[in-house]
Amino acid sequence: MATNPQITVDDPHTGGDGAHHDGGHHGGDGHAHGEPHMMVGHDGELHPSNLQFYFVSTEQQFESAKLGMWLFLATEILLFGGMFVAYGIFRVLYPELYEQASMQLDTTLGAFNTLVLLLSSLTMAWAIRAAQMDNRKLLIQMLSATIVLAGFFLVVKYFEYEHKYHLGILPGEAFVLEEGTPRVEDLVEGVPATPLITFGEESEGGDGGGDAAPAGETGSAEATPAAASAAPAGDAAHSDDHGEYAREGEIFSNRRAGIFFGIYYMMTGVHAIHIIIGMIAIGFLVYYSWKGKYSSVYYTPVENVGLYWHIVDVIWIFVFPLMYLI
Amino acid sequence: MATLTQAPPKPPKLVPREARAYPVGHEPVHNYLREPRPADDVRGLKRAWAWFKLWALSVDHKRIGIMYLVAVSVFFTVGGLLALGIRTELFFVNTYDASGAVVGGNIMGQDAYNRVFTMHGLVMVFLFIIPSIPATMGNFLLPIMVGAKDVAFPRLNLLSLYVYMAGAIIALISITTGGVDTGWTFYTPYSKETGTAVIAMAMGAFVMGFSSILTGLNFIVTIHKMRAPGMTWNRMPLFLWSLYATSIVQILATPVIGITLVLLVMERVFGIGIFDPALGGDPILFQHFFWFYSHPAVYIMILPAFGVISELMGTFSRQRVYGYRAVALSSVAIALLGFLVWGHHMFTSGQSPVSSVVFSLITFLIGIPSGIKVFNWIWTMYKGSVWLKTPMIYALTFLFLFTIGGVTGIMVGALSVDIHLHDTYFVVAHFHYVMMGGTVMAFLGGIHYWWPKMTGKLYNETLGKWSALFVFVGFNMTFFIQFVMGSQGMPRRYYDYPDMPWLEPLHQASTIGSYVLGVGLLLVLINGLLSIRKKTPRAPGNPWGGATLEWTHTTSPPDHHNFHHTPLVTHGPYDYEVLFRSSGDSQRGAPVPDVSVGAPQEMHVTVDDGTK
Repeated sequence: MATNPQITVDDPHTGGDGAHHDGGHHGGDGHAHGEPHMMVGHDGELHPSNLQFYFVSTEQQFESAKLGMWLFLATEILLFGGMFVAYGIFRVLYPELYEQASMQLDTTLGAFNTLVLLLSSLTMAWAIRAAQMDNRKLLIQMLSATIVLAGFFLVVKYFEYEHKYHLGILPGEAFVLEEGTPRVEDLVEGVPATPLITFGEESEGGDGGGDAAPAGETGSAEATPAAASAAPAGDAAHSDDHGEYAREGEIFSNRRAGIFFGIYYMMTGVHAIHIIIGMIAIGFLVYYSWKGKYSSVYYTPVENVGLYWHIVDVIWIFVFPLMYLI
Repeated sequence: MATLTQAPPKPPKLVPREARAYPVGHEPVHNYLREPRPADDVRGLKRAWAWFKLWALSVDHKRIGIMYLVAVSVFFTVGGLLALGIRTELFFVNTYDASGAVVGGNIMGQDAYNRVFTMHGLVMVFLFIIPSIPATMGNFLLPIMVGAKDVAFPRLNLLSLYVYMAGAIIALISITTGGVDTGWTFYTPYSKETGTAVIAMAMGAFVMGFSSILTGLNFIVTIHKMRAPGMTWNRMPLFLWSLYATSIVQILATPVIGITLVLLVMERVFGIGIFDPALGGDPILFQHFFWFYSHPAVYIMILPAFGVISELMGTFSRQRVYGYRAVALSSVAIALLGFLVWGHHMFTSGQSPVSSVVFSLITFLIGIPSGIKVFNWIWTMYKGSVWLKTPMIYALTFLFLFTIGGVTGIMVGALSVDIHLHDTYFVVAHFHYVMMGGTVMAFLGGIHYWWPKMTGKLYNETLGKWSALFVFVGFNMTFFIQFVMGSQGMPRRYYDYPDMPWLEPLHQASTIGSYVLGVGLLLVLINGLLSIRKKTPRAPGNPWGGATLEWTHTTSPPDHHNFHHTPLVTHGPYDYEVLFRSSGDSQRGAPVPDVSVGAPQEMHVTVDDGTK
């Protein structure tokens, strides 16, 4: 029995050689772990193998990891909070802009994506339940389903971005305005700066819009790398006859349109980055579940990634109505 | 039965395989109290490399704390040299020829000056002062003070160190792309128009924010979940309370600067327009976002200093810190109130008068918890046995300087006064009195206090006192004069003052003061380097007679896992009378331990730690 693979000595006191772990992020350290709750020992004492030396009990370890995750989620809320504040401030300043701009967002696709994310939260919660019930197969299935749904979300998001890219609906100064829309630099002295919205009326700086289009071209290629191979936005700006990509709406002659879409792309973009990070994390969970690392005794990472996934979902629940519906 | 000589170690007995508790080849060979070190047969370069790996990959909170200490010391030196550059430039009024070109009196051009003061601010704020006390002393001491073997997430702790390093490197890249000249505040719209180095610098600060968040998160979880038996909230050392309050601010404020800097970078790269008035955006919104973090950030900087001072006041007055709960909760009060005052940086920005009044009022309110602390510290010394060692001298310096800094803060928090003093040297002097006179003095005091614990060596007391004298004189000479200059209208961030030649002698005195201050800080460095030489004798476990766990329950430096056994805490953090029984004259506080510098000497007291 000397080489019983089920028995591993997990001596964490070997210094900084990677044998220390936090929060149960085991793995990749060369130790062949048996069942997660296998009692292994060091210094003549027996501990569960997933218990780190600086914790007294697995309960303490689990609660610490969970509290740490909640604190991290607080930082996430505040990160998005900054963008929600920006959204709110400009909504108060330019209410008409928001009305016009949200017309350009596809409510159906947004609602579909909301549904997809809600469903993925369900599968994630189900995965945690599966881990609690020691059902490894279900755990892997549910985690995989979550990744697939997340991928679905991103694909839909990609088509939304692509559509906007073709219409020249881009953030900030890259937004392709109708020709003749006065920009701030065109509003020379004597022209009141108060009219918030100018509906395509000709002003002294009639070429302003024309000047803006090339700026849109240069900025746009970077703005949506996903659609970098698509037709340049400048073409779209002058191709209203393309039925699919019709530029309709007052927003195209609102010189502040770029602000709304700056916020739109920032919020949805940062959210999408969170989705991708979540997919990677869940990918790791699938791998380690497949290795049999999680059980009803130890499923802290599943629980914590689940918490993260729910916050990403909840943020979308706020982004969707604010951007698409109202 | 007692034998005076120890028996030679017996050769290991061969145990039958069945009786072994461990599989072959996996016998525990490590005494986990021993610091990991390279095997004896590893020699030469390989040994150096092994040492490097042991340190660079160590998740031990003590080693991480010391690595942070080295890093922040380097950046403090860099920032300090930049400051000396600023002061040297201002020594003379420049002389100009007929065409307006500078012909004398300067050492650097205008653009270089702008970059130097910007770099000074950024290095000092993001690279030095924010991680200074929490990441060095906090990392080293927090787990020991709560009675734990490590922080809750040791690997996250190491990650925060490397994230900090990565952020520092990204920030320094900005120098290669032309340098940043916006001031450390990155105000739009200028930061959108100036050189592209702003992008690297903003990203560097963004990345360093993660480091700050991870440290704060680790501390909160450790304090909440890993306190030793008997370590109730009301038995926690005040340093922990202040670190706890700091961590709250780090977690709640830092993400906001994160998204602000990301928005700034996006503004620069893609022109998203949120801060660009040409597109309908609002540059003042940037100021709101920026100060929503950066005002609480000044409490990230000063709150740990409050904690250090509380420890010093208790130990070196040999007496319980007066009003423990008031001092503890005032930290939390400052942390929370600190979120509601950011508008006082923007009185002249054109924000609504109503909000200015409200922000001014809440700013005054911050004075209450700060005052509670100062008065309680003074009360702690009253009728105590004040013991004027170097750390205590720094603590008294802190009291003096921080009080001036705090009271002038109330002055510039008053609306009418601020209109006059906004963006003058008065404000510069105010925040240097708080940040340098406050945080740096506490940092120096804390470093001296815990130096024997961190390195196992005592510094030279005489040299320490000389350095404190130089620092005190140099600091006041540099910055008190700046109050005068500011009230006479010397604007901050100016490269020259040709219209105010009467200020030249004041500027010169200030510059000379900065050199004196530099000498003082150099003495601190020399003292530290001298003390860690091999020939300096080892420090005792508790040279100051402290009553917190790091003094009563650990060796100097602490063992690898801090404690032989999880300590059982049976007394408060400042119960010197309980621990070190004196003549019974409780009016005079606990006795001063008999420590002669350089001669290791254990205190002859027995401490019931519940493990016997």
